[in-house]
Order: sequence, then structure tokens, then C-alpha cells
Amino acid sequence: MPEETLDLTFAALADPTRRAILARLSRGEATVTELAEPFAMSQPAISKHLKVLERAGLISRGRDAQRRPCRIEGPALAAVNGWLETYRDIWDQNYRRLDAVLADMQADGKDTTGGH
Amino acid sequence: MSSLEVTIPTDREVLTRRRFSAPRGLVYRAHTEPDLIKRWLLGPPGWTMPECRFDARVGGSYFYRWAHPTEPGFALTGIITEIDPPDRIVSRENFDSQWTGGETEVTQDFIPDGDGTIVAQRILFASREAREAGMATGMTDGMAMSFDALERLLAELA
Repeated sequence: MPEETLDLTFAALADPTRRAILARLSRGEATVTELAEPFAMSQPAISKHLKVLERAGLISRGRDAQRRPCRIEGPALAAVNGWLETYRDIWDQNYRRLDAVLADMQADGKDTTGGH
Repeated sequence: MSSLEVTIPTDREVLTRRRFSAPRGLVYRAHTEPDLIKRWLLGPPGWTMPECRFDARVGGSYFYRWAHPTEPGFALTGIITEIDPPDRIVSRENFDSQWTGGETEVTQDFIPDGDGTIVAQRILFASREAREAGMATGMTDGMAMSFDALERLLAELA
């Protein structure tokens, strides 16, 4: 995935409504009308969000001119997910080792700084 | 074992939050004493930290150098801009490689939580592009993703 697309993807995901739309689409495709329902938002407002998501490669829309159902697109999300997973893995491993270090420190009874 | 929370509240920030079953004084020491830091701040398996310095005062610096049997090593330099033992450390960090695409501001808060401590870490990247450059190696372009992973991702982004 080109880097500029990834920029668009992150920008698209920065908005809570757009994340909620993606969460809804993860359960299956939906039309603009169906998506607008739970959000107390006008269809044009939802359509704007959908355009951002589509430009970011996060969703695609069907060709049927009337319904144009939206569906989620895996690869763009996978790229973001890969980024986060790498970050998460590094810190998860660091902090598991820190658990062990802290356990050793407590066993050694070296808490001389008064804790909290 | 407590789980790690990762969130990206804005396009320049990453927050992590993790609880430790140890009093705050010990957690703070493990973040500021070189002999302790080099035992855990190592990233993926195979990496060691042969060099570690930490001067825990405002204007003080720290230096970490990592090594691996087969990968090229790298290093990080930090300048402490605010320190309030054992509550908080704020610093500006630079890697010697392109890893984070420029300087980052790192804020670590050590928060008492019952008989344990929560470490909340906020990394502010110079730009959205920098944040992405910082993690370019993690890209899994075109990989299929399960809905479980998606749900977790969306929760993390929230």
C-alpha cells in the first residue's frame, strides 16, 4: 500500500462516526439509509463520511445506482492493524519483562523509595 | 497479568496503558536506573542493550544502544524536559535511524492503583507521516484480517 493511502487511512479512522460505520460494516454490507439510522445524522452527512472512507480505501460501494451498498475493504485496515500490532507486540514484550524485573525487585525487598 | 491498552487518539499520538503489580517507587526505579532498564526495554526477542545511561534530572539525558546477533544495531538519545519522581517523566527522544521519522515527545505517568501502579505512556510524533514512517516495517499489505482483529483494532482506535 502506498504511504499516501496509509495517511488517508489514518485520517479516515481518526473520526468516531467513521469508526462506528466500519464497525457496522464489519457485520455485513449496508446502504446509506441503513447506515444513517443509528447515527441521528442526515444522509448527506453520512455520505460525506462514506466518501472519506472510500477515498482511504477502507470501504467500497456497489455499482447499483439506487442502493450503492457499502462494504468494508480488508487490505487498508490490515495495513493499519499491522502497524498497531507491531507497536503492541514490542511494548507487550517489554512490559512482560518489566513484570519479571519488578517481581525480582520485590523479592529482594529493595523498595526503599516508599512506593505510593 | 494485566493487559496492555494501545490507543491512537489523534493522528500524531500513540497512548499505551498497562498495570503492574508493584508499588510506584519500584516501577519508577525500573524506568530510571540503567541496570534495571537494560533488563526489560529490549523489544523483540534476540535484542540486548549493551549500553544504557540515564541522568534523571531536568536537562539530563539518557542513551540506549541496542544490539542483535544478526541485525544492525541502533540507538536512542533522550533529553528530559520535566521530571517529578515518582510521578512523571517527560522527554524528547531521537533514534539514530529513521525509525520514528524525527523527534518524538514522550510522557510517562506513573499512577498508583491499589497496591499496583499504572504506567501511561504517550508518544507524540512530529507529524502523522512520522508516526507512520516509525512503524513502516509493521505493514502487512493485503493481508486478510479476521473480524476479531478488526473489532480489537476499532476498540483501540476509539
